[in-house]
Formats: sequence, C-alpha cells, structure tokens
Amino acid sequence: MLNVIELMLYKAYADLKAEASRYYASILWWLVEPVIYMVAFYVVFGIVFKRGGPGFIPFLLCGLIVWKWFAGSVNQGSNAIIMHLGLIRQIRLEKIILPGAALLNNCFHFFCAFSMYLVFLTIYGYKPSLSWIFLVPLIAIQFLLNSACGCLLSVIVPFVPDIRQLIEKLLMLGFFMSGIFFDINTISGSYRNFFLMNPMARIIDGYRSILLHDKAPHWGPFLFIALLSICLIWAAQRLLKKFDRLYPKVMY
Amino acid sequence: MHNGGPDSEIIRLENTGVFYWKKGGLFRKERFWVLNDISFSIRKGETLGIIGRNGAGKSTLLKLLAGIIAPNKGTIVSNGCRASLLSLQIGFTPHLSGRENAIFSGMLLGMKRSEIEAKLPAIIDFSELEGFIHDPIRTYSSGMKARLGFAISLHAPTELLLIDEVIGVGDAAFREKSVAAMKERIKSNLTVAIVSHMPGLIKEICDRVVWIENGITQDQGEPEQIIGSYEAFIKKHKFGIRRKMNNSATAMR
Repeated sequence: MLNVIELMLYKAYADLKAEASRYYASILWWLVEPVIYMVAFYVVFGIVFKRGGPGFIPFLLCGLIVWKWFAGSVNQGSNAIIMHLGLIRQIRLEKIILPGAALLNNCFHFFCAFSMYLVFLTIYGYKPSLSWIFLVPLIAIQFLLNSACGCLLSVIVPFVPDIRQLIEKLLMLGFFMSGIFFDINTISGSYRNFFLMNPMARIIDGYRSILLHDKAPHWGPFLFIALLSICLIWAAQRLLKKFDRLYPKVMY
Repeated sequence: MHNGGPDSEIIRLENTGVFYWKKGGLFRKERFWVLNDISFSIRKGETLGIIGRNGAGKSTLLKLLAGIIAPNKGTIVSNGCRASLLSLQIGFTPHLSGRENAIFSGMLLGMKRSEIEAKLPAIIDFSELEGFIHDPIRTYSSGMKARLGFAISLHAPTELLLIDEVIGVGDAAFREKSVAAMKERIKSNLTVAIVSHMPGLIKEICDRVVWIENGITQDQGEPEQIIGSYEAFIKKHKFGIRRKMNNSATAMR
C-alpha cells in the first residue's frame, strides 16, 4: 500500500519533471499558461464583446479553470492504462498507480492555474476573505469526483477503446451544460433541477459562491458527491485488481 | 519433498494454457492459444533453460511465470516467491536524469525508494557513469543507457529471475563484464529461468532444460540430452521444408 503511493507520487513527479525540462522556461510555463488563458478570455469577453457586466470575467474564469481540471483528469485518467501497455507487459504493476499519477499531475496543474486565478481576483478587486477556507473541502471533494471518473474510465477504456470517442463528446457537452458561461441559479423551475443533476455544475457554483459571493455553499449535496465518489474509487480499484493480469494481454 | 530444502519446488505449472485475443470487432473476438499444455516445475536454486523455436510461446511463458498474465487453463502452484522478468531500462524517461531514472526504474522493479537510494552508489559505479549521472538520459548514448539499465536490474531484488534472451549488453568490454556479473548471479543461490537460442550458453549455465514446441512441453531433462534431441528435431524440420520445396519445384517443372 505504502509502496503504491510512493510509486504513484514518484511517477507524477517524474512526469512533471519531464514536462518541465522539455522547455527552457520550464516551471514558468505552468504559471504563464493559465495567465495567457485568462487574458485571452478577458480580452474576448471583457474588452471586445463587453458581455455580462463587470462581474462576468471572474465568474467565467472560475468556471473555466475548475472545468479544465475536471476535463484534464477525466481525459488523462481514462487513457492512463492504454498509454502504458508497454510498461505493464514487462513488469507486474499495481494498475491504480497509472491513473493515480495522471490525477496527481492534473491536480498540480490545477493548483498552479487556481493560484493565478486567486491573484487575478485580488487584482480585480475581490479581497481575500476568511470564507476562502471553504475552498479546502470543496477542492478535496472535486479531487474525489475527478478521481472517481478518471479511475473508473481507466478500467474500461483498455477493453473498449471506443469509449474515448464518447468521453470526448460528453466532455464537450459537459463544457456547455455545467454552467461555465451562465449561472445555473438563474435557470427556472424543473430545468434547474435537471442541470443540478450534474455534479460539476454544483461544484462550479460552489466555487463561485465562496469566491465571488463570500458565502459557504450548502454542503449536503457535496457530501453526497464525496461519498459516492469514494465508493466509485473503491469499486474502480477492485476492478483494476480483478483485471490486473488481463490488461497486459489487451491488443491495442 | 520438504519445504525450504534445496530441492523444493518454488513454482509448478500443470497443463497450463494461455490464449490471446485476435482483434475483431466489439463482439467478434477470436482466441488463439499461445500456450496449450505446459507442465514443469522450477526448483529452488536451480537454473532452468527454456528452448524452443520462434513463436513457440517462450516469452508468453516467462510472462506467465512472472505473474504478469494469468493462465486460462490448468494451474500454477507458486510458493509466493517474488518472480520478475529481467527488464532492462524499464520505465526510462528521456528528460529525467540518470539518477532519477534509476530511482524510478528501481521502484518499478519492486524496490522502496530508500532501498534503491542506498544501492545507487553501487549502480553508478557498475554502470561507469559517475560524471553523467545527473544529466538527462536523452543525452546518453545507447550504450550508456544499456549500462545503466543493466546495473539497475542487476541490483533488483528477486527470488526467481526470468531472463528473455539477453544477458549481456553494451560494447565489447562492458558486455564481458555484464555477462560475468550475470553468470555470477545465476550461479549463486538465485533461481533462474532463462530463454535462449544459444545452445552453448544453455549447456554452460543450466541445470535442466525444458523444450517448448507449439505451446506444449515437448521434453525436459538434462541439458545435453534435450538440446541434442532439439537440434536433431530442428535439422529434420529444416530438411523437411527443403524437401517439400524441392518436390514442388520438381512438380512445377
């Protein structure tokens, strides 16, 4: 168990290091990339289109950055095992290490981007407040959700590679359905309940209520998301163990 | 047979078979049996040679012994020993330094980080990479990478070492050194199963030989005797093919 975590961490570290040493500015890119990302949206929506009033840019960027973490985790987590078929054909390896390292890697990228976003917020005029402390449990819950999705998909994708196509389309759909460009609270009636079935819509809304409205979200649904995610991660780990000696035989 | 004695079995295969799938559609998968009926055992401390023609299933057999894949029929009885395939340069990443690759590779081979760090000086020394160990291995020559890879696997802990063909790497000098180191390790108390096409090597280092033909254990026993009948079989088979070709050539005329 300890060995598994140690290896997962080292793999994540090695991947990050490899990523960084590919470029001269290395680590700087992790901070610059989200800044460019934010500036691009700022220019398009804040200066060119002048949409949504003064609060729109922080509102939009919050959704984008949080979504990007989720989408990245799902994508890389689901590809984790088939990307390493060569490795697992040569040695016996706890398969959970592969999606696990990909998830940690994405987690790190998110922290870089999110800290840049917090810097942006303070520059934009939002004062850091004590309620930002609620971000800690919320980030933890999103990490659980990301992990649940990433790990479960990593179980299935090697057997049915077509699912990757499906994931791509569903992420595109999710991008528009998770309230990144609009506030799900402004939707009326039964439609709203439909949108709220999407856990990412709730999570994005949670970040906004903490950062932009200075108040804690309702934790009930998040507790449910966290518990469900833990169950799914457990199930994924059981399945990875069950199929442990099948993955090396996958032809891809 | 008593447990723990020099002659005790550490792993035994009984009528074992393995199939792979041939890629079809989603619901159209065809099995093909790579191993059909394999039965033999490996005893503690011995060096077992595995011979057979290309495509006989030798590499699959090693994967089976290493626990990388599971049998689809028959049984494998193991005493729970740690078996591992000799994998050179496992997990090597071009942008990481030699040292970091050694640590990562060692961890993949089952060592704790602290264990491999303790062994690093010996690994660096054996691979003759003192001045380069902090450089990224993308700057290494293939010989340097091979040396590092070999030094790591030489230090990896295992009870049953599975070797697929290669036991020496690098240029002539290092090759001699690595072959010597590997032979020393093989001759020690370590249990080894080695696949090789070199009858000379098998005769020199193996206590016993298993001959695999078409996924079936054809014969097993003393190296001299098995290799003798294997070579006779090969000769006959080659001759058979040649005669067939001659016949068809005559028929065409």
